[in-house]
Amino acid sequence: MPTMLSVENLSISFRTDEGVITPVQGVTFAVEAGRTLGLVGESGSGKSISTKALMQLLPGTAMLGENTRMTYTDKGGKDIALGHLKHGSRELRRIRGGEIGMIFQEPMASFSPVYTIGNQMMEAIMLHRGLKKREAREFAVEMLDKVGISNAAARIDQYPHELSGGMRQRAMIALTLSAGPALLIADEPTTALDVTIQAQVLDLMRDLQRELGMGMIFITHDLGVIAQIADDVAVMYLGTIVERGPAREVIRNPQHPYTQGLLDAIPSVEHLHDRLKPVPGDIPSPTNRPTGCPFHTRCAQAIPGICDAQEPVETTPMPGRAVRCWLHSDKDRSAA
Amino acid sequence: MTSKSDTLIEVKDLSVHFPIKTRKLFKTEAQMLRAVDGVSFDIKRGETVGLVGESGSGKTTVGRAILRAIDPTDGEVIFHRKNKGDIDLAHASEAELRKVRSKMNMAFSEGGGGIKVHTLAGDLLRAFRPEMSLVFQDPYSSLNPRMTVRDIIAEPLVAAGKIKDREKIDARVREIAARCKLNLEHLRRFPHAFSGGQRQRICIARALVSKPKFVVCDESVSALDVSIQAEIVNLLKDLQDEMGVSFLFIAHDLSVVAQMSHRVAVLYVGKFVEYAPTEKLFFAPKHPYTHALLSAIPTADPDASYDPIRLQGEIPNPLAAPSGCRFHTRCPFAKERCSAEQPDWREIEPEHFVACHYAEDFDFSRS
Repeated sequence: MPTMLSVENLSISFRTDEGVITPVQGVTFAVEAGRTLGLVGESGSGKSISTKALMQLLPGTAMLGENTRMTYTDKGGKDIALGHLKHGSRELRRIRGGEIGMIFQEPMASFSPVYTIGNQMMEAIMLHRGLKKREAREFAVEMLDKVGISNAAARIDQYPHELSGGMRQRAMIALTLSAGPALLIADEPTTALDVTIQAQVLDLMRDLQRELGMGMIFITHDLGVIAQIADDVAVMYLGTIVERGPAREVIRNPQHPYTQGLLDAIPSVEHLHDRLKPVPGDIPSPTNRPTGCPFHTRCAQAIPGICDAQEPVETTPMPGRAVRCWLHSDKDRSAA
Repeated sequence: MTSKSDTLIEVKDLSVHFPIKTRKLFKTEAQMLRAVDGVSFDIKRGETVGLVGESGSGKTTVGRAILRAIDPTDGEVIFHRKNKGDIDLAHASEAELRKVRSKMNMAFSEGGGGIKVHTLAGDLLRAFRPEMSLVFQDPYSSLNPRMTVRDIIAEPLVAAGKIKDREKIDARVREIAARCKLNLEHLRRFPHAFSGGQRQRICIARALVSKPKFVVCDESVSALDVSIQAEIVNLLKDLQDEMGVSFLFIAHDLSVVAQMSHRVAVLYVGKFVEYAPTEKLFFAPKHPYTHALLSAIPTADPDASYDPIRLQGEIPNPLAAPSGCRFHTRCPFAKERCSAEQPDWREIEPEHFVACHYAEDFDFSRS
């Protein structure tokens, strides 16, 4: 499958009262058409703002690093440098929504409360598909039907507050997909939903992706959800990707101590009486990022004098896998 | 089976209804939202009872009604004490209550009969407060940013007014802070300096400082990251072993509840559908809803089969709760009887309660 999005060395800094902070440092990943990349990490790991950078949705105080390259190959096969699109330009508007769609965690906050669902869908359809109003309405009903909203022809005239949480998230998916994006970014789309509804929405997203052949970036903190939906996974900690590879292999055989710790900490309904194994310590604040490997303050295997001093480089412990940890880079260490 | 004297909290037919007023053109219509509708269960000394259910099922309302943070519409909440045969505070008249008030602290700590929590009012309720406590979900919004950690933890003691001596309060605060793995130097700081996990430890210390017998943990670990959540779960378990406190552990995350609880109750649109010891509930559930909930948990094992039972439709609006069994609109096994007749709350095996007409017909057990 061809790579549709490649992000290299993405760094994002903010100027704050306490000086410049860099919550995302040197993030590299790629998305292939028809595949799902899962971005996992705990709060403050930088998973959301990394994808917001793609869409130029960062606040004005944000600065991208000098070596940041974000290349998106559009439906026509043209390479577009996402970092260089001008705000308000025709090109950016075409990409945002039309080429790359986005679904957020809280559907109530992403719909406008003063327009009907249909109104908001038709706006996107007319802009990105160039349809007339009447055709756009028909198309919107079709999309609502596709995401499993019963009685779509009537629902289309309802306001967002009239729908339940699960319905609203379905409507959000319908809205995003009605613009026909080739790449879908889903930012914690099921986190606010109950488990039975989450199962429905995950099903739906998987089916639609298969049907439409989209690439997808699925952001979540839940490794259980990753195991169910992602083909590839990138584990983030304090703004860097510490491990990436095929989701199945990473979960089966994690190489980075953080990934291992995260997997061990998950409570399970299978082993009721085992004591949980927390990752010791607290997540450092982004204003106080540890030197060297960001995880060394909580890592049981940290090597004094190395892990706290030098930032590890990405190595390939086995084909298709990448990990940023000194335990896996003996050669680099002696050279450094 | 354990004897009745081990029971700490007994909840009988608890209901909480809220009037919802909708303004139509010329009149106001009042509807009753039956947030909790006839819930019965008990909690033993030193036990954790888990309460699960989807949003809007009434979990939080059950917890708050027991604590009398919300007044129950109907039903009883009885707080049992070990040594029986003292004054029955719940049935004392107003004049008698005034007389006892000065001896209240003693009366509560040395025991009489069961305290009918649902009838307590005014000073009596206030005097009873230190026996029960609450840990909230969001450790960021439940700590006053203008108070030091010491003052936050000491507040329940100050409010109860039992201990007046500042040094004694300090000693108690230091003791509980150490148990909750907070450094003594933290006590002088303000909450903003702490991370989510540390803040939740402050909330737990505050809840336990008055040595309550019963604490409601309402989604207390849900807002925390996985790596931190495990630590708080372990801390709560340790504190329970040391202090013998009972927990009502409310959460929507079934796997956390499985780790924490001795027994688990499943709530659906204001009613219990199942209540059983944790192992029975998780490995041999009897209610189709419990079974569907369990099947919907995504596990982090890529080889485990994940085939959630697809429940049709959405959780019903409690304002228009379905007739008969409330789950019949989504239940894959629903028959005619289910929409007509409300299922009884019955004990089909010792300690295993379920509300389903056909519970005996199902075998949802897994190895």
